This record gives sequence, C-alpha cells and structure tokens, in this order.
Amino acid sequence: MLETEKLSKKYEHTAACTDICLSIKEGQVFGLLGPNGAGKSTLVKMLMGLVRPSSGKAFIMGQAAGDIEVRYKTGYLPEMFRFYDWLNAWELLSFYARVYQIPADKEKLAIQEALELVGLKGREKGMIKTYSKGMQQRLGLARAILHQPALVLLDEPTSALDPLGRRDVRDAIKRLQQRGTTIFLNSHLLGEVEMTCSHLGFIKQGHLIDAGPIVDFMTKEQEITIEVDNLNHDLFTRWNIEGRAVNMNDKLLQLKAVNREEVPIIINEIVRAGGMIYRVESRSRGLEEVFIDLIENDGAV
Amino acid sequence: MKHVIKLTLKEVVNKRIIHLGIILTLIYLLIYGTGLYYTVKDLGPQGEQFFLLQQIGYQLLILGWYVSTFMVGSMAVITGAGSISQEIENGTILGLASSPLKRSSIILGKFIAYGVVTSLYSSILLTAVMGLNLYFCRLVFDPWGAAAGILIFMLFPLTLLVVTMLFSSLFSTMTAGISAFMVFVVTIIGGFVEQIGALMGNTALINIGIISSLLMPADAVYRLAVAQASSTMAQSSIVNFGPFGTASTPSTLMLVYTIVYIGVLLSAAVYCFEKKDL
Ligand SMILES: Nc1ncnc2c1ncn2[C@@H]1O[C@H](COP(=O)(O)OP(=O)(O)O)[C@@H](O)[C@H]1O
Ligand SMILES: [Mg+2]
Repeated sequence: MLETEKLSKKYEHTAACTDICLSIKEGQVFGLLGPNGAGKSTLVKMLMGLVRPSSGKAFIMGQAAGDIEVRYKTGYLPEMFRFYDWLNAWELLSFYARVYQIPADKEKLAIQEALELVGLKGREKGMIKTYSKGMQQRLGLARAILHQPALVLLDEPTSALDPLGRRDVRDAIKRLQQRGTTIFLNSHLLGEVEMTCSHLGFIKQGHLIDAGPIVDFMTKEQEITIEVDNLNHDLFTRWNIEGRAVNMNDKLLQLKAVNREEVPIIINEIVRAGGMIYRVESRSRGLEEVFIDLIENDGAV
Repeated sequence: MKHVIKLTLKEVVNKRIIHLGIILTLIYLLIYGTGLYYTVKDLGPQGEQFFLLQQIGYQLLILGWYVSTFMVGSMAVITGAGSISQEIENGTILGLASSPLKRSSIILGKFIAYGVVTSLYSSILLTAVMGLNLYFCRLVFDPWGAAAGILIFMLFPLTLLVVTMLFSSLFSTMTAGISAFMVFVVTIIGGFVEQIGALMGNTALINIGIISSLLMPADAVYRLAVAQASSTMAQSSIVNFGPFGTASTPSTLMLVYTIVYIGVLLSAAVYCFEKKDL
C-alpha cells in the first residue's frame, strides 16, 4: 500500500528526513510517533507530493507518490488545516467533491456521509471563519475522506481538539478502519497512538528508529493499582519477596504483574485473605517506556 | 482548471479589498465627471466653439485614462500579490495542492479568473471615462477605434498581473506586492522618459523608454491603446504631445511582444510553483 525507499529531505540547514524506509500494508493503522521537529510532517508532505524528496523514492499503491492518479485514491489532512474562510463547510466539500470528480448525483450523499463521520452534521451551513479550531480540524478530516480514499494520511489529527473531540476523531478512525481504509497518522502523543494504531513507527531527528506491530512494543508486564481496605500483611510481605515492587500508599496498593493473566489471580488472593477491593486499574507500561527510551535517551533498538 | 477559476471568481466577489476598489472607482468617476462639468461650464460661451471643446475634451480624456491606468494597475497588483504566496502563508494551498489538481492548473486557473476580472474592470472603467467625455464635451470619435483601444488596453492589467503572480510564486505576499508595484512605477517613468525624449528628439531617452517597455510592456500597451482610440479623433495630432499622449507610439509589434511576454512569464510562474516545497 505504501512503500518508501531511503526517502530523504534536506532543507538548507536541516536534514528533516534521512533514509526513511517504511512499508505499510493494506488495512493497517500506522502511527508515526516522534517529538516536534522530528520530520513527521515533512515525510507526509513528501508522500503527498507537496515536498520534493532530496533523494529516495516513495510508492503508494504501486505508483510514484504525488502522481495525480494516486491523489484520487489518497486523502490528506494537513497539520494545521485551514481553508478559505469566506466559504461554508458545505461549499468547501462541494468544491472538493468536484475536484475529486465525485459524480454529481452522488455528491450530496458523499458530503453528508463525511460530515456525519466527523461529527459536523447540522453545522455545515456555518461559515468556516466562525468555526473553532477543533471544528476546522474535523472539516479537514471530512475533506480528507470525502472521496472514500483507500489510504488516508493524517498529520496530527487531534492536535487542536479537546478530549471529547479527540475521542470523536478516534471513533472516526475506527470506522474508517472498519471500511478497510489504510491509515497513516502522525502524532507526538503516545496515548493517542496507543489507542488507535495497529502498527507504530518511531521517528527522531529525521531517522526512523523503529517500526512494527504495536504488540511488539508492548512488554506484557502490567502495573496494577488497587484501592483496597483490610489488606492482609502476609501477602504484602510475600509480594515483596517476589520482587513485585509493591507500594502501599493510604489505601492505594501498587504492584507489578508478570502478565495480564496474573491480574485476576492476585485479586483473588486479596479477596480470599479478607481484603475489600473498591477499584482496580491495570495497564501495560511497556509502550511508554519504549517511547521514552527511544526518543529521550538516544536509544537505538 | 475550471474548478480553480470558479473558486477564484467566488473569492474575488467575497474579497473586501475588491469592494473597496469598486467604491473608490465610483468616487473617482464622480470626481472626474464633476471636473468635466465645471470645465465645460467655465468655458462659457467659448464652450460653444466646437474646436476648442474637442481639444480640451480630448486632453481630459487622455488624462482620465491615464489616471485609470493607476487604478487598473493597483487592482492587478492587489489581486495578484497574494494569489499564491498568501495561500502558502496561511496553509490553504496544502488542500489544493494535495488534491488531483495539477499545480499548473492552479496557477492558470487563478490567472484566468483574475485576468478576466481585472481586464473587465479596465474596460468598464475606460468606457465610463469615455462616456463621461462624450456626454460633457460632446467628443467626436470613431467608436471602432475606441473599442479597439479599450480592447488593447485589456493587456495592461494582464501584464501587471502576470508579473505580480510570478513574484507571488517566488516571494511573500508583502515582497511580491511591493516589488510588483515598483516594477509598475518604473515602467511608468520609462514611458514618461520615452515621451519626453520624443518631444525633444533625444534618441537616448527614447531608447531608455523602449528598453523599459521590453522589460515590462504595460506602459507601451497604454500608449498603443491611446493611439488606437485617438487615431481618428478630431485634430488629435496637435494635442498628442504630452507626457500622457503618444508622441512616440510603440510599434504594433509591441502587441505581439506583450502577448509572448505574458505567456513566458506565466510559464515561469508555473515552473517556480511546481518546484516549490509547500
Ligand atoms: N520549509 C522548511 N524549510 C526549512 N526547514 C524546514 C521546513 N519545514 C520543516 N523544516 C525543518 O525540518 C524539521 C522537521 O520538521 P517537521 O517535518 O515539521 O517536523 P514534525 O512534523 O515532526 O514536527 C524541523 O527541524 C523543521 O524546522
Ligand atoms: Mg508536524
């Protein structure tokens, strides 16, 4: 679906991307993670033919990236989506429906579908200049998917959104994925990517450090937080001996489990020993550690 | 390309600066008409003398057209200056350039739309100025000659527009606007120098004017248009001498040159835009 070979871009003073080799298969939701200035936007712009690579090649669906034909099958949401503020959302989408040669009799339906998917239905007659940043970003997303592209490239799709808006965009991405759309998204927010992506790539200072299925990056180790009353101290001592890095603070117990399957076993033990559990949280800390390792400590994996 | 043309026309209709331009134009015409009215009135009974009225009317017509070139020129520079750079500056170009629209059709579409608007504006303005003269000074002229002049003059905003759009594809909106305006002023001065040279019989001055016309043929287009419009005007030869007139009329080859010039600069703008990282 998407292939790059040693794709590089050098600006006058900076090497924005260096020898990026990526391969994304059909149906994947690929998240490219990296701090600001890592070269994420530059990479996407090269894929869209907006920026000329200094060297290397990129192919989308077997054709050179940036070809007009490829663009019919690709949707793109720029990092800061903006459009002429003297149009309303409907007019904007209608303009693009024509540019993407959506047949006139299907135009209305396509626009309605896109508006619905991004949660802008009923707001389409508002002038774009009256839209908040979040609404503009949704509109940008609507434009990106209007022509039902097989591949969608989203550059920081949630950066301008509040938590609710972020959830809406995540839902929209899930629905696109269900349609079979391949998605490439840029983000500097680990949490976002963790929730939506099937595959991950890490980019730092223009270099793609690592890429692969998200499960490969997750260690199975879980961190459990339990709100518990009347905890048996024998358990506490045993966990300490087992090296579970136990920590008891007020009624909050924190400890590590080797894998997910251990979580219900531990809870069962507490309950049988007379502990009263009010709340349990369990999460895999692996990804964040990998992220920090890769990005902060010059880490090469 | 037709999508870009339509979109650009829609933009023009919505642009506040264009609305302001229309208002300024109406004010200009009002002042010009008032001026004509009082000029004719002050001539008193002499105003009845056909010959004198024609002379004065013709001078005022040329003056009116000359002032119009500034308005048309400003319109072309203002619409062209942000045509590409502004879209790059505020990011709207990313939407257009990532769509199946070719970069060349983005530029050409914009040029056609702005070109239609500015040349239409120029012909309406010149016709209005002529109409006022016809009404107040009872100017006698050949309608075909005048129409041909106005038609030729349409090239005037197009030459300025193409230069401004080339700048806009290279520089920021501010830089593009200022440099295009400077080019405009230089070509006007070049035109002046050429006319004065013709009056004094100084070939060096004439040559300076010709060189400036080759670099930017807007002024030559204006002179050609005036010459064309006034070719059959009563006694025009006497009053043609003046900085706004056509003591030195460019050769009609200049028309061909101007059209080639527009084509070449438009291709250059396309080339620059295609090479640009957005
Ligand atoms: N048009 C440009 N000219 C010069 N340098 C640029 C340009 N665009 C981006 N850069 C530089 O390239 C690097 C990568 O930028 P970018 O791709 O926007 O990163 P990200 O999207 O990951 O935040 C940055 O150092 C940035 O300053
Ligand atoms: Mg970016």
